Amino acid sequence: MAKVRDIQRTAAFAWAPDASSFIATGTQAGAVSADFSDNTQLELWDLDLAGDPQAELSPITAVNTDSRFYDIAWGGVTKERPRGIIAGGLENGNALISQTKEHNGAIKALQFNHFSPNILATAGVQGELHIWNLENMQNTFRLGNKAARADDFDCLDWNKKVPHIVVTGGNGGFLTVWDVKQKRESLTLNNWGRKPASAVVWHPEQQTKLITAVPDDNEPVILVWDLKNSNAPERILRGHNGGVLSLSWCKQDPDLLLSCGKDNRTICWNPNTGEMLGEFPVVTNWTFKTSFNPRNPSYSATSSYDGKIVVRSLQNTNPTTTADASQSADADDFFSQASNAQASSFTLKQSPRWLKRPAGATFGFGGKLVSFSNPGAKQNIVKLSTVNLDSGVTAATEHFEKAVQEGNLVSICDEKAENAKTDEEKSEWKLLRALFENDTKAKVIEYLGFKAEDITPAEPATPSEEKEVDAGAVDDAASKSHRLSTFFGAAGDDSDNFLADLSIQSSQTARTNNPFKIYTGEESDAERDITKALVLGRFDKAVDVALAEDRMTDALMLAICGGEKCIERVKAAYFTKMAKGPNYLRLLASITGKNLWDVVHNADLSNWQEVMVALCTYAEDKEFGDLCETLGDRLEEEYRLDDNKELRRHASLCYLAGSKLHKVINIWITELHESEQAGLQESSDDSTFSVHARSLQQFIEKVTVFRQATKFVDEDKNAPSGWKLSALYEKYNEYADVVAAHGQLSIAEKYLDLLPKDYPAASAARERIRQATQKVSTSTTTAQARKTHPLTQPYGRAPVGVPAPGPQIPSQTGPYQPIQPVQPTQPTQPTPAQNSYQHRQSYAPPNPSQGYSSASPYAQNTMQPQTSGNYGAYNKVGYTPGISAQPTRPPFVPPPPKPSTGTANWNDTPEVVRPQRRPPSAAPVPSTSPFPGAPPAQSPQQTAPWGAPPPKATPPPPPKGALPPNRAQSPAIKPQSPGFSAPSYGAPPTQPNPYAPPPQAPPATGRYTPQPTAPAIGSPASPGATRPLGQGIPPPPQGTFAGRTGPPPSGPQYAPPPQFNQASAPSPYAPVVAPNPYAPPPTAQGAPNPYAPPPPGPHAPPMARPGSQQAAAPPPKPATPPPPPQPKHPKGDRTHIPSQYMPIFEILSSEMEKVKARAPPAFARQVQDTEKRLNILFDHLNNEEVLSEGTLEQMMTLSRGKLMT
Amino acid sequence: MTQLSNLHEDMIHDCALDYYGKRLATCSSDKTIKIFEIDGQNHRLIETLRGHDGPVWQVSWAHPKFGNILASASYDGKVLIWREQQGQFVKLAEHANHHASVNAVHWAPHELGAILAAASSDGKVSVMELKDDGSWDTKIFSAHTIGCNAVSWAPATQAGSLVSTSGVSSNAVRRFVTGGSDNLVKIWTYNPELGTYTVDTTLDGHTDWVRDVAWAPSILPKSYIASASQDKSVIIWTADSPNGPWNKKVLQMDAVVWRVSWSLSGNVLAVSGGDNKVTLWKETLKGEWEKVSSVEE
Repeated sequence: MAKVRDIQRTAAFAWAPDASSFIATGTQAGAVSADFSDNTQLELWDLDLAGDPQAELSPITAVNTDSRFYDIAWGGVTKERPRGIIAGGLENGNALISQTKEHNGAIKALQFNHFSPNILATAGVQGELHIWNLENMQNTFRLGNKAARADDFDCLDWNKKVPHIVVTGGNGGFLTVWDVKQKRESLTLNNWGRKPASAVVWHPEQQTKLITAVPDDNEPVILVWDLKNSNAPERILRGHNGGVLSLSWCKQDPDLLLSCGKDNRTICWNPNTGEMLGEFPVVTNWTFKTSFNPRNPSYSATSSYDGKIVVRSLQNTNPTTTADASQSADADDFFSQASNAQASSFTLKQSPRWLKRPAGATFGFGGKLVSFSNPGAKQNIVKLSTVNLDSGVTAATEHFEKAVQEGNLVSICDEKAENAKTDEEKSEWKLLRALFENDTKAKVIEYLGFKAEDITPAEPATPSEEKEVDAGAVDDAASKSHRLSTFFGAAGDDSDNFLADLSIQSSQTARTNNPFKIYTGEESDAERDITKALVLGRFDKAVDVALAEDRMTDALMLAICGGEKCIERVKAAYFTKMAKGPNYLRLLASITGKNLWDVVHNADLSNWQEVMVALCTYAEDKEFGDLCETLGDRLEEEYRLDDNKELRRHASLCYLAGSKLHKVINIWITELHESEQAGLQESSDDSTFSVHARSLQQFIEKVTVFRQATKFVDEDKNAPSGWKLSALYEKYNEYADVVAAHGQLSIAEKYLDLLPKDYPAASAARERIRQATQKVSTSTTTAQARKTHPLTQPYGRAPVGVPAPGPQIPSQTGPYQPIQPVQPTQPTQPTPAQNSYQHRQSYAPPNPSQGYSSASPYAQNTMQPQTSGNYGAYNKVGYTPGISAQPTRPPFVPPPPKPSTGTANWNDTPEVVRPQRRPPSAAPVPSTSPFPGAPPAQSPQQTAPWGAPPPKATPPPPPKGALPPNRAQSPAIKPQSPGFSAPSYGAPPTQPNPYAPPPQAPPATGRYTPQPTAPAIGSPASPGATRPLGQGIPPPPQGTFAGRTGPPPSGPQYAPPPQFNQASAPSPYAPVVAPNPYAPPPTAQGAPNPYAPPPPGPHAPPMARPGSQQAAAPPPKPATPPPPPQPKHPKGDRTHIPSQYMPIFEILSSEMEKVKARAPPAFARQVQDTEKRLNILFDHLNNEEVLSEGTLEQMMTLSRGKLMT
Repeated sequence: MTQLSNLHEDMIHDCALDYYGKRLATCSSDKTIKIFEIDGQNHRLIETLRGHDGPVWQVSWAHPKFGNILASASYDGKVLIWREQQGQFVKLAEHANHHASVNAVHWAPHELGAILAAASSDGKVSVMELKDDGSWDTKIFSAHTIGCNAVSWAPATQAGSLVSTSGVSSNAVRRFVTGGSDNLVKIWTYNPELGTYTVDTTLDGHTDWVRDVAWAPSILPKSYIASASQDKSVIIWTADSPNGPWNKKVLQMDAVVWRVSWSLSGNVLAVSGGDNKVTLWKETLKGEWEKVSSVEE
């Protein structure tokens, strides 16, 4: 407590009830001032608490009273009396305000009602208690009755909670609680043994509690009562040393109670706990009144008899300052010291309730609010919360954030565009939305409202006078805002400059220096359209418009930018327009339009050269020919009309250039005639015929050269009729005749071949020639034929004409024959060919009937000469001996080298088993049928011939005779073969011989053997390989032989493959087998050699083969019987297989491939064999020989059937 | 909403969030100050500061640029300054300028420097400034006769400007408002000639003690002062210009109002009453104030 003020009075005081710190004092009754003055005053003091504490206070006002005060009450604040009213209880019983006298005795205590400021209660001696109503001063009433109380009332207090309760206390020891409303006592409290009560105060908040003070020095206690239990006090506060004279219970804090008394002390209590909180400094005399400032209880005042009223504050947290002040002043004054000794440092430790903030809230960063509260004793709560200050903001923010997160800003744009209030905003949002599309630029265009479809070319209008605005160098492309004067005004020079400047393209940094307007506002619709189209990049539209406007040059420029289509359009339009222009334009039109037909058809012929050149330059290959033809046609026509030879020449040039043979032919034929005529007129030594022939020759030459040069392919060859080149064919035919007549059959044939198959005139000729050129091997026909044989033979056409009889035995090819050195009988048959031949020969004899007699003669004839390589002859040669030797030889009638495959061909179908062969001289024949099976018909001999390829020295065979049963060889064969073979093969493979000789027996074997034996493997295959399949074996075999038989037993013998196959077969064996073990086969059949065995081996089979051949028309496809007549085409050639039989070839070869691929090694030999045979068949097919149509048909069925399965 | 219960052993009298909203300081009648780390729903007691002899009435966080500094006002008449050093709070300074309970303490806007104002039951206000050299400069003057209960600084920048100038510039105003037991609200301005603060305006309107005053942070052009009183009312004082006439708007409450606090953007007022209720108030376009929501108990 800090002493705040003091008032130098001994007075009763009262605080001003309002906020001001005023005190009213009234001179105390029962006290005498130091000067014994008789003044009794009521004074008002302004405490001026804010001011200097040391200053002396003086009363503001003073009111004289006639009596001393016992008590003052200041209350009654009402609207009319804002400062309240002071009521004083006087000694003389007056309640001063207005002098009202009711009391009979002194008024000891008075108090305004807390709730009704007009009510005043006064209590005094003799138990008088009056209730006054200030508003109605007349109306006072007395509580209680006179007589009931004899004791004085010393104190009173209105209840702070219940307005109509008042308690009074006095020295009688009873406290009376009065109910004013009911005007009667409620309760009487025995003050703890009837102790007098000097002061009484109600609890500020609890209406049933009150405290009384006992002025008894013996027991200066303060009693705390709860009237609920009025028997005993709740608490007793002891602390005073002297009687307690006054109490003040703090209104704001029930824990604070002031008491003062006779012990000169003012003590502050906590009545609820009974704790003495502190005491004010002790004064020198009784303190008879203490009171809290009703508004600010931190201040309290105490008046004492020592002449002072001291106003103090509850707290003095910094006592040093005040203490110092007072101390320093009276440092030496004992008394002052004494009195100030307790200028105490009393400070209320317990914080008064009025300072305790019970709840609060403060904001924090991030929209946070922290609040606290103390809902109950020992309970405190702090809350943290986030405050949503502006819901609108949050909602919008959240919505937007969500959309951003979802990536759904497009919808936001739409939404905003919808809700936009101004058009500007709307368009902005629309554009923002457009930016989301990938194609921003397109969207911008769309947004700006530019549509390409809007541009339609107007009707061609007269071009406006207005110059166009060239939307050239634009500084700011999209900006229409560049509004500048029309640059292309009338000024022409300006435009030049502009164009020149155009090259200085404005760059981004170069600012506007060539201003111009894109839209001047004066241009025509068309121009506008063009501009629009340009801006949009639609050149096609621009071109359209330009064309419609007939602005050709512009259109061209635009087209250049616009691409191919535009260019085409403009071109077309231009040409149309310029149709009347210079002719070169027309030419150009055609050229660019790639349509030369126009030129060709329509150009004047006098310019044909130019046209031609144009064609050469521009025409595409496929059209070129036709174009030339057309041109040529025109020229020709012209020529016909004109009869201008020049034209004809030109025409032919055209035709030549265009490779149109048929046209050229006609001209050439005409020329031919002419030259012929001319020639005829040239009297020379030649005959008419020769002239004709010469002319024809020249013609043919020309044609042939032409064909070669252009690689002409006659498509009509297979057509049945209606040939374009019919004229040519005629000539060919003629020529062929001529040539054939001169013995050049092969040439003739060649040319005949060029004719279509169905050419009537040709077939006969062909046939004839064919016949004529057939290999002698099989046919031992005319000697003549034979004569030619050697020549023709090489072609494999051995007996041309030989095989008159019967079918064309696939004229074994030359090689065939030779190989047949039908040695056996001739030891001198080195060449297997010869052998074979001889074989044949030998056969022949035996079969004269077969017509092979001729063969024999052959044989004979040729035998000798044959020694080496005389195939054709050989054949014959071979035969003879053979024949002789082996009578049994199956007539290898078709000696022809057939299946020269010799041993190798053991399995081959008796190639070309020409029926002729058959005839069989039984013996000799065998060899001729290289095709074991083929000519079964041919009779065993065939087989023999097969084996026959006797030349193949089938040496062993004979000896073996044991020809593998495969073939029912004609026994005849056997003997022979070896013999034959041997000699024939000589070197090579005697084995093959087996075939050779086989004619009788061996042949077969011969044929086969090779197979089985080692050597066989190799060779056989080839020649024989295809044997079983027997096709056009002849040819192949031959070939193979040729190949294989390295050391051609008889060199050339092998030429004629077929038969030679056998021979060749042997050849492979050759190495194995000594060349000629068989040489003396016949003689040394068995002996011979080592080969013998082997060959026999191989031969055996071959031998057998022949035999079997005959018999079996072997297994495999009995394809073509006859021997390999001289194949027309080289072995292996497949290109001439007629198309209808192509399938056979294809199917079979594919099957072969499959088998080859999958066959286990053990069967390799068979596989190879088969292949060989197939090859032979193919060759025959290719050569169109040997295989009869019927057979071929069967084959077709077979192969197809096979395929089906 | 996070609720932390019984952090103290006695009544809590104040809680304040720091500049970042991460730290919470609470003070209590148990004479202690507790610092908590707040992380969403979790709280963690960092430290308990002891040093006061009496109930601590208020705490105030300084701007972080001065460091982690906390000022506390207590019934024991002292103002204590605490600072965090190496994770620990230590007492930086002790001010015993008052004779009675220091009821309020408030840091000035950081642009003015490290300045602190304290209001005491002895009726005086003290302004303490921490200088760069670490010393304190204190000015004390009487504010309200029988006790000063609250003090609140005005924003440093002139009302209406969003951008604040750095440091103490001529534009910076040194003003604060106090509320006292004499039912008055007073606005004080620094008077450079006198070297002290003088009363600018006295706002009269309450009929009982003014328990709390708060000057709104200025985003809006107007100046707002809120005063809370024991007479169960809150008065919003507005002025269009800093010195302009102040208009008052009375918000009647149901109970004694102990505290008023403005949101950081200055548009929402939180009012705390003796009935332990906290309500939020916002101004409408017409100038009326309406209750926005209340924080439930």
